Amino acid sequence: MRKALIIFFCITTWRLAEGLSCPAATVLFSPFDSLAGWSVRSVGASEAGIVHRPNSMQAVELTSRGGTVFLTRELPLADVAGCRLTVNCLVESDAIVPGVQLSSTGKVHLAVESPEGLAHYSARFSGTSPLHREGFSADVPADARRVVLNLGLEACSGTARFGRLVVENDKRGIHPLDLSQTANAGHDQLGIEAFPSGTVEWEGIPFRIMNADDHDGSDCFRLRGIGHDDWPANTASPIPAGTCASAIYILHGALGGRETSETPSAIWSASFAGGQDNGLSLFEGREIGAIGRTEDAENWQVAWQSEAADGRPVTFGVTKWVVYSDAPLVGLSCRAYNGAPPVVLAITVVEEPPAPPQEEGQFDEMGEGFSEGE
Amino acid sequence: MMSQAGATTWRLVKLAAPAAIIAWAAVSSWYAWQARPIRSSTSSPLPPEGAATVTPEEQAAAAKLFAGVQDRQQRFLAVVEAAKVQERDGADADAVREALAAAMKAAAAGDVEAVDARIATAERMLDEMGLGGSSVAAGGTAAAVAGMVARIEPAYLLGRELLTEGHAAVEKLVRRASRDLTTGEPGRAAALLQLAADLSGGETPAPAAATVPEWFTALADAPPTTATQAEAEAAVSLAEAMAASESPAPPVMTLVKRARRELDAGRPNEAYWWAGVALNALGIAEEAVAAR
Repeated sequence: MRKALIIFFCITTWRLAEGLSCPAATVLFSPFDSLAGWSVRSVGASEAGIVHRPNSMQAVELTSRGGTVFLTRELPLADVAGCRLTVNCLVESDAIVPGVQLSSTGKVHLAVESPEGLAHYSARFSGTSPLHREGFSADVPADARRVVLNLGLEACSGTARFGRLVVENDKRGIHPLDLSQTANAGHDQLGIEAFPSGTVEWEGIPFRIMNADDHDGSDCFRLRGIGHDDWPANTASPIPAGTCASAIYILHGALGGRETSETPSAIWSASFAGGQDNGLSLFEGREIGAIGRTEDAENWQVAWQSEAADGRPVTFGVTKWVVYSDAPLVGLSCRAYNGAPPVVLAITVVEEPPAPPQEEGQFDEMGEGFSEGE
Repeated sequence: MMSQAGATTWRLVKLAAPAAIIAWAAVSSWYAWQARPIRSSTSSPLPPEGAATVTPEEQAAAAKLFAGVQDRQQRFLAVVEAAKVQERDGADADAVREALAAAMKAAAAGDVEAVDARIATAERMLDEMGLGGSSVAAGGTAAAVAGMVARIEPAYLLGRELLTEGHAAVEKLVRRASRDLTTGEPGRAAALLQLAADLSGGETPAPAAATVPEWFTALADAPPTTATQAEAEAAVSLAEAMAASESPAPPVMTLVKRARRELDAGRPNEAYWWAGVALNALGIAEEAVAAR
């Protein structure tokens, strides 16, 4: 009966999530490669630590022997007050024996404290279960005072593992990425006489241009290409994202780019939690335009334009890269292929409403759904 | 062999309150309880002769007194029912039986104040039996309460800080315990704290404490719960329905039964409060309880 209630609760909450009509923004994504930002709190005999699960997945493992152990953190009110939150997490349990109260189980739990009182939202589980997804949606009043997220075991015994936690609100998510670890050139160095600074706004999407003074003279990154065989072939390290993503917008241009090309000048790769990858090939004249080109290309729209000292136009455009994954975007990388060298100024990730989570079915070790026939 | 005092006690109740006959008839194990001898309890505040003999004349006189005051009769029957439940759960309710017998003798003597005092004594004994679900480690002293508070303090404070789901029921019990201690009821406070410990996942070893901490004392200021009869009935019914479907652990069942006993005894405020604790322990959030 208890299990049935829990299943009903989860299905109900997921159906609520399906009904969302607003875009979403990632408030928190924890791949649990560390416990940074979290506190481990316990009463009674307990253990907590990061463990490696199959397929390179990391999880936090909590064990309690009749007491309580929680991985806990407060969510920032600025991101959650007045929003509907969606919380989902991969969970695995070993021999969890419920305690005295009905809430004395393993759980993903959100407590919302407001002047009206305290509201609880939780997905509870017990017994032994393979990796599966647990989650719920929660309405946070605008005058909320505290919103506390707890993962763990409350007044019970057993072991629970939590992986890939995502908390989203119902706002549109816009996340300019930090390119500081990838920056490898200043525009002067590339012979680009005019260059944007601060924030470039394009169709409501902000692109933050690096300040060269803060990055050893670098305000962009470029990769190897025709005429520049000695430039880096790859991004120095993955560009960290850590957010759900519907589309990735790249502000860039090709140095000495051509009208068309038979081969891509560069290939982007987006890595998602769980191991899924998405790719985007940049063909000149289609997904990337030459710096100075004033007409839009098929998927490269001029977003910033200026003039060099001799009056020649200097332009950079935006390429929209639509990605398809329920899992959060972990990072981006780019490698040169065979074409004009790409020069990247900024990248912004935008989140639209998430696809409704799967209500039933099974999940593999990576938490991806699969049908019985597979 | 059934003791004379046990048999006469319940025979009188039958005379005094027809409802008790129905209740007894519904509980087949009741006669086994009657058959158990009353033992003299040195811990009982009752005089040892209190339950020894209740004559037929006294029974008749007591029946008249009980029949005349329904509230008192309700309280008496509620204690009887609770004592039966306690014994079914394995507790020793002989001291309660003695108190009830003393209440009957006082009733026969027309001493209304003594009747109320004896019934109150029986009620307090039931409280101090650990509310049925747990054994009371404390001895009913302020020092014992301080020790209990020290042992549950880590779990209590963690639940309060992290706003855990299980904290709602614990908070209510601890608040009530604080108030009981303040009003000079350390035994009842200890019983409530033991139940709070059961609900919060056990106790943590702690050094002996001579006094309770400030945070505990501060909880005594909480206003008492008020509820109408209808609100209390609704809350108790909901708790019983939830308990029937969820088969909760004994401490939670104790809460539900206690709520029913308070309702049967004509104390809607108490019934509502206990039902609220029970519903919290059954996973029903505070606002849902209040909305009933």
